[in-house]
Amino acid sequence: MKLHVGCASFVDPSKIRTLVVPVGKWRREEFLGAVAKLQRFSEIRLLDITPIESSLFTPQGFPSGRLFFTFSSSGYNDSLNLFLYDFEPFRKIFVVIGLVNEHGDLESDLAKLKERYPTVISHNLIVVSKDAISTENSNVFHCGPKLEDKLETTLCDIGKNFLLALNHYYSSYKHVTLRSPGAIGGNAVLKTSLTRQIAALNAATATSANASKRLSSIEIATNGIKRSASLKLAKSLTTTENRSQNRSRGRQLKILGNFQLLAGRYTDALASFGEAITLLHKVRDHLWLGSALDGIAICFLLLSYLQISFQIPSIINVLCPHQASNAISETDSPRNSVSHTPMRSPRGSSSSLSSAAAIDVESANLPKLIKSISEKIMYYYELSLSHTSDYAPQMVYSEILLKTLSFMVCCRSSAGLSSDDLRLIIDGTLPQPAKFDCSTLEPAFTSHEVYFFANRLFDLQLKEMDVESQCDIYMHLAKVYRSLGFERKRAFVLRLLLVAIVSNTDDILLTPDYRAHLENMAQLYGIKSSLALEAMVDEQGDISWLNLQKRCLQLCLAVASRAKDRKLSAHYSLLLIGRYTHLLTQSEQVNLLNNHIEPLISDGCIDSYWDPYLLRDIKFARLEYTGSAVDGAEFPVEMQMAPFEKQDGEVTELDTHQVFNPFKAVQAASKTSDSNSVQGTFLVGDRAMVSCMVQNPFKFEISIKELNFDAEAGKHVELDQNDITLKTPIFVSPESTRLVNLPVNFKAPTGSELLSISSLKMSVMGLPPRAFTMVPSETGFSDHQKLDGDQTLGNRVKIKILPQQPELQVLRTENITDNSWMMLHGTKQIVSVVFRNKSLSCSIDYLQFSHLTNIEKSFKTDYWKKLPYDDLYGVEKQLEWLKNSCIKILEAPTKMAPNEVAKVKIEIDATSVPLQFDGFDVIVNYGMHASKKSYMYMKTLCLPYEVSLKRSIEVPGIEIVPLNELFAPEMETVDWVEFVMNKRRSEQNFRVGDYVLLLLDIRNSWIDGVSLDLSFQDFRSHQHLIEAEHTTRVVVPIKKIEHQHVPFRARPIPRVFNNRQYIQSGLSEDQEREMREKFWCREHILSHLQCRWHLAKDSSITGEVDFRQFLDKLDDLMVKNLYLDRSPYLVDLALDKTNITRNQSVHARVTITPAAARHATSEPLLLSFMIFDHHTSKVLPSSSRRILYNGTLTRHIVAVKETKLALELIPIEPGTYEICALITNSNEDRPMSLSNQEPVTLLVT
Amino acid sequence: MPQYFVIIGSKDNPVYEAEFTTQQGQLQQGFPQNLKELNPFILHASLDIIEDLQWKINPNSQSGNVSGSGGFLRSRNVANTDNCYLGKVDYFYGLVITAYLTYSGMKLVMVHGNLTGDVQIDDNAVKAFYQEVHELYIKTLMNPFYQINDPITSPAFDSRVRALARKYLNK
Repeated sequence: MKLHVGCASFVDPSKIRTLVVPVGKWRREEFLGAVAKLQRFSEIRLLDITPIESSLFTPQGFPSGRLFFTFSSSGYNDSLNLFLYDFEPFRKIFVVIGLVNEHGDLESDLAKLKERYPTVISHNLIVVSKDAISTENSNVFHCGPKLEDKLETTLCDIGKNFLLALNHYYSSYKHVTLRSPGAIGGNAVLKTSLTRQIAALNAATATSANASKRLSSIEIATNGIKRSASLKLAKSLTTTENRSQNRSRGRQLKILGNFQLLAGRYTDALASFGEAITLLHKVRDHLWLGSALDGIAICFLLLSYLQISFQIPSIINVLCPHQASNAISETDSPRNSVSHTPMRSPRGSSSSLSSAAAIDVESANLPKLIKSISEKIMYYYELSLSHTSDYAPQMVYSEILLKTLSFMVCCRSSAGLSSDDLRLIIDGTLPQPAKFDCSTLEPAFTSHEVYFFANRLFDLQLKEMDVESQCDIYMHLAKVYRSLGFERKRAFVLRLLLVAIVSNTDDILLTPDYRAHLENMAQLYGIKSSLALEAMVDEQGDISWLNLQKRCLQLCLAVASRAKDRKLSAHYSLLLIGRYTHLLTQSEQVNLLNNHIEPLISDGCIDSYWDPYLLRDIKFARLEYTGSAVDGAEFPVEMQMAPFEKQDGEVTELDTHQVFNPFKAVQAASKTSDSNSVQGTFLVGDRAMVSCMVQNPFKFEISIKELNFDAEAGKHVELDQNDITLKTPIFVSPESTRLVNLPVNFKAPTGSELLSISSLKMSVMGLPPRAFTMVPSETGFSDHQKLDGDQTLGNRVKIKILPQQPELQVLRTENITDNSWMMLHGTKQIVSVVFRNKSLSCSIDYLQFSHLTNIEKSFKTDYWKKLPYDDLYGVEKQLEWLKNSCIKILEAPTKMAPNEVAKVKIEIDATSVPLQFDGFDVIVNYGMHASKKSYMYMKTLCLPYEVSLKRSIEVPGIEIVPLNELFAPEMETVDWVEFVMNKRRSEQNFRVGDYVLLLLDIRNSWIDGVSLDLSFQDFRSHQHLIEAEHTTRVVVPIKKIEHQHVPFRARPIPRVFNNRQYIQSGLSEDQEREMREKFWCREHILSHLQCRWHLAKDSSITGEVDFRQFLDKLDDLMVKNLYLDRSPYLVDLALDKTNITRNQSVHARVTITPAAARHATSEPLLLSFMIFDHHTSKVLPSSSRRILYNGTLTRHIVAVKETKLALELIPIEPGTYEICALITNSNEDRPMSLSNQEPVTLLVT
Repeated sequence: MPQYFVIIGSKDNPVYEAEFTTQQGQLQQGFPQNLKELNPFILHASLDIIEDLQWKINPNSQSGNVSGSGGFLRSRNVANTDNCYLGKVDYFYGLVITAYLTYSGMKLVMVHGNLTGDVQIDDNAVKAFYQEVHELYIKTLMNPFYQINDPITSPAFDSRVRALARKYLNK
């Protein structure tokens, strides 16, 4: 079925229907082109046609007339409108032209043509060929290959042939009784069925427009008049015979008029129609009257087109009173005549067709007149409906409606009829909507008027007509609306058309141009037909009537599938499912899937999945490492397997020209956070899993039958074996998302680059696989796209794949089991560990061992902040020791070839470790060079060891006591006595007071006896055996530190780590000096005191004692004992005789020397002599009579320089006395009391 | 006599849709299913006519000029809102379409169904209905969260419009 029919022209009945058929071998396009060329010469002037011998139709009779051909190459169905041929003979196809391009026997071709189209009256052949042909037959013509050259003359000749044939044809009609279509076709003819009552018609027309209202009121009036007139007429023509004669005469005249129209004799036709109208009006043959009126209106138009002046017959004025175009004729207007015509009109109609009342066409408003004639025609047709056989077929009725409609549209541009308008009317084309100008004042018909006229079509029951007529009507209406600029109305009509097509059960063959209509309608309803993503994004902002669009699309789909146009069906199905998912109900979606999409998929018309948002997310995750069993249990491998990348030489050069930007770091940080899409680093050969989030927004299940990486990513990553096949696809249930987990293998390293994956190839619903971009969200997507340009839709996942790595493995640890052992405090142990490079292909290029004890771990980073200097020194010394000496890695290799085994010894020294030491980690950093030398891959192996430290030798107590006297020789078996005595013997200025004794309580906490040696400088103790859980006091003689040589006060406490700031002791200067003294005294002892021990049972187990951790800070007394430089003054007391008899005088001389120059203050000092009884150690009272003295015992002195004093004593009683000199000061702020260092004894006999 | 009522925005987008049914005994009388589908199309098509009438100084309104208000464009001289009511603008087979135009260009359109016979439009009642809906619409517009041309989803609006329909249209 063809939907592009030419619009019904108002003057259609004047056109000769011509069928063009191809003879020979024509290509479709060539043939259509030839037909189009014929169409160009469709208008033939009668002047150009050779006269024929027929008074009725000879072209000479009206030389200015025209022959109009309408050529069609299809749609020949002779029987279809057979019943109409009597009534409206112009519907018949009169001429058939065979276009011959490959001629054989032309005569036989012509004969065949006649045989094929017997009802056609004129058969012609046009031969299109180079060679001239010779034929006698007047119906065979020759044209050159260009066709145009001789076409006009050829068509003139065809016209002549037609006129001859018409003459012949008409002669057969002359004596036939003409019957109405209803009488011929019987029930097969569809009677016009109006939904409204005829009574309502008047009301409807009455309200149509102001102008027409006036018109119709007049019409009603004239109706009345006419009725009365014809009543009278009927009375005068009493005999029915007369009446039927008149009727057949009228009908004959009408049909003659029709033939004359075809033959181009318009004036004759006008006369015939005029006469016919008069007769038919008399006999009230409404159907034929309407048709005759139609003919006369055509005559008017054609005559105006030829610019021939004519007069409108008075009968028309009577029947169709109309508004004159000029004011003068207003007096002639029917309104005036209303009051007078009762007398005039019967006369006018019955007696003669006098032209007295006829109006010249110049004075008539032709458009209005034609419109009113049309109204009248319709009125008569409606009246005819009550008749049993002479009723108007719906086809006829609707055609008059349509052609009047197109006429009205053509007339809209101006008040009158311009030649352009007439041209349009003749051609049957409608003006373009753009042509309308709102400024046109008073168009003949307003668009509203036209619209309401058009709406009268809907008074008809169009559904009952055959589908082709319906299509014609709807197409015509669509064109009219388009011309009016009513695009929505046009869309509506197109929709009605499509519904009509769909609801029709017959097989319809649609020509391909129906697509244009579908497109058109979709466009009119605002449906964007593009399936592209951009369009979808753009559309988000638009709002439209989505329900309308959905239904419209469903309709389009129905039509397309009806037409079996798979491509178009695919387009609409995808549009529907893709864009209107949310509006479709479940059953609609399932229907769409089952009835349209699935068949189309299997046909291959849908070749890719329609939802671009299928893939929502991709994630990579490493599967839990399952290495060989040797490793798994023994080492926490998760940590080891995290290789990190270290970039060498990445020193960012500071641009000194730049202004300091304090926020630079912040910005840099925020930039790096951008790269959070990097999902991780993987190793070649790593086992990992990819999780794809797929979404199904539809209300049916979708299946994914294949899934893979795209080509770029496929070089590096591939899916491991998985279960997805065509037979066992993954189903995603309706309106849900599903996480698909698949194992992946990493094939090739990406090196330092990142592998970015933004899409996956998937085969959905059995469609061929295609890449789906990852779209995390539909809404944010547009912004993202705008920012990044078109190439990055959605996000990407970035991963890094590193080459295979060497793997360091501990094969075994010798000497110990389970990485933990027990150690005696103070001992050393060596553990050897055997490593292997497990990898068979990668060598370890770099190997470094480090260690960390639990003590170091337990320190806070700011441990040093609150500690005083001396403590800090102790702590840091310990840390230093832990770092440097506690654990030593011996024989550490620096490189390992693949599969190489290396043995490493670890020496643990538990001498100075604190007792809370319970383990350490050996950290092995190793790695290999990347293919680029600037990179290196580092791995870390951490070996934790646990140590249970057992206490061995401890020093719970310490004391320092001065040594005052020498010992008896028999005491010399004791080691320290021997030492002192040896000293006395060897050293000349030996003084016993120069020595102090260090008393150490040494405890053996171990379960076995321990024998130990102590040494201090050149002192070596005897071996002490301490039983288990016993404590022994060991005495160590120490020589006092001489202050002159070692000024402890001035020596600051050293620091182990010098780069610390802000350490403040908060101590005063004196306190600090005191601290220094104590510190250095302690250091003195510690630096010389050594103790080695071995077990009594097993002398191979030896150890050392680190006194630092046992020796507390020294107290004042200890320091005073140990360090000479405590007193500001040196007091020396000497007796001239130490062994005297009674009553002998003895002189005690005291020398007071300031210790340093700065102590030589002029403060007054008090020197007191004190005399003790050596045995009782009691001070002799000053009133004692045992010793007499000369002078006072207490004296005031000022010791700025060396001061000497003497006291004469005379002991009266024998005994042993001790004399002591004591200096005190009177300053209460700094009380001081000093005595001579060594007691001086006086033996009195 | 069921009605199908739509408020149509400036981009031919429906802002509010409702179908009013009549209660006849126990029976809800609505549009038959095929008409339910067709109604939006009919209304959409009639927008052409409304827009045509909108700019006419003296439209040949099919309402029979009961209101006598003249065209929409006369609003300058007419104080009341009579001119918003365009009356019967279109018909399709037995269905009659009435329309009302707000000053912001929102089109209130209604299909008057025909179950029994001819549709008789009581212009005064329909006009009153439209005016009250217009008032409701303006109240909706005053909601700061409401954007012009957005669909009206307020259930209060819906229930009030339905109440108005019961009051004026389906007594």
